[in-house]
Amino acid sequence: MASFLYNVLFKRSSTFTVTILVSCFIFERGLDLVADQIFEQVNQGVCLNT
Amino acid sequence: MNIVAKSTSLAPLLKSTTVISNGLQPVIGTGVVLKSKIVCKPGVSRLVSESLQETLITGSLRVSSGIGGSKTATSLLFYYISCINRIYSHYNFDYIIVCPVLSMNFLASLLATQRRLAHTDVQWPDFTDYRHDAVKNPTTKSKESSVSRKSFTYVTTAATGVTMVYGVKTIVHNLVASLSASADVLALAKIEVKLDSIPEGKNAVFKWRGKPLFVRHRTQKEIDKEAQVNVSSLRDPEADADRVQKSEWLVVLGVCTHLGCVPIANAGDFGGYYCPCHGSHYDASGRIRKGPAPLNLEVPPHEFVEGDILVVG
Repeated sequence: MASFLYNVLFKRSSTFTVTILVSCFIFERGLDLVADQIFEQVNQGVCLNT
Repeated sequence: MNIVAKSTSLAPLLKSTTVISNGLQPVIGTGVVLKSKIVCKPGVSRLVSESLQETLITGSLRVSSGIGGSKTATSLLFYYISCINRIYSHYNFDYIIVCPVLSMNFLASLLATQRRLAHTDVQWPDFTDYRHDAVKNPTTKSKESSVSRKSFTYVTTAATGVTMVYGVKTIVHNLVASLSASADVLALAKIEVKLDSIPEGKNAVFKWRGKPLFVRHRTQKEIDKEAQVNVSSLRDPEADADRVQKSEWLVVLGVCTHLGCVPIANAGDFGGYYCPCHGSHYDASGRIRKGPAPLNLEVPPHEFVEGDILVVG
């Protein structure tokens, strides 16, 4: 696993950069989703007429 | 009284909860001299520099005087010095403790034999907890563990890079967004109005730079009426001809000069505009005629271009 990661992703600077940029997209998407979900949970409101 | 204090005899000082005497032996024939015991603190595991420093003897140091007692004192002193030397040797200092009180000759004269301080019992810090899994075993070949070690480093670098790129992207995005909110673009904003869509006698409202813009297609009756108004009788004297470029088109900002309400078109005592907030009456040229407002309705810079197009701004 580690050797695969190292040889495929990290060994060359070009693939390393691509790795960072691609994971940045994934990271941003995930962070936005999580942040939105937390926001919705906190602000989901209450139903007064139960 | 011939006690030679060796470093090994002081080793119990390092052990936990060991009680030792200060080394004074009772003098034969003169009775037993009893000294209170010295209780040592529990030993500490000398793992890091903080715990190493805890092994220093601090506080009051009991030193017995007398011929034999000074040997003990001397050895204690040596122990103390060696402790300090050990600690500072971890910092790779060339460090020499100079004893200011006792010269080395005097110390040597007190010692019955030549003594060398033992260094074989120094506990070196154990960094196993800090090592990567790949190099916990000291016999591992560097080549074999290199992929694991490099991967760790690169993963850390990549994670930092991802966070940085995300942060920079967010900052740049916000910066550009704040710029495009655009004082300059808004300030230069112009609107075009197709005049043929406004029938005579009607007042059309547009939004221009965030404010309502009135474009009024005046009737000939209104034009004649405003032209005949005595300018000197007005609160804010302005001739109708100075306010309009084409006499059938009145272009004013729909903001009351009193407190900024939006006046109502074709209302009020003078057939122009009426502000419902505090009752300001404007005539069909947008001039204040009655009520609290101090000034005429503002005429924005505008021009008529080819055909029936009005450009405001």
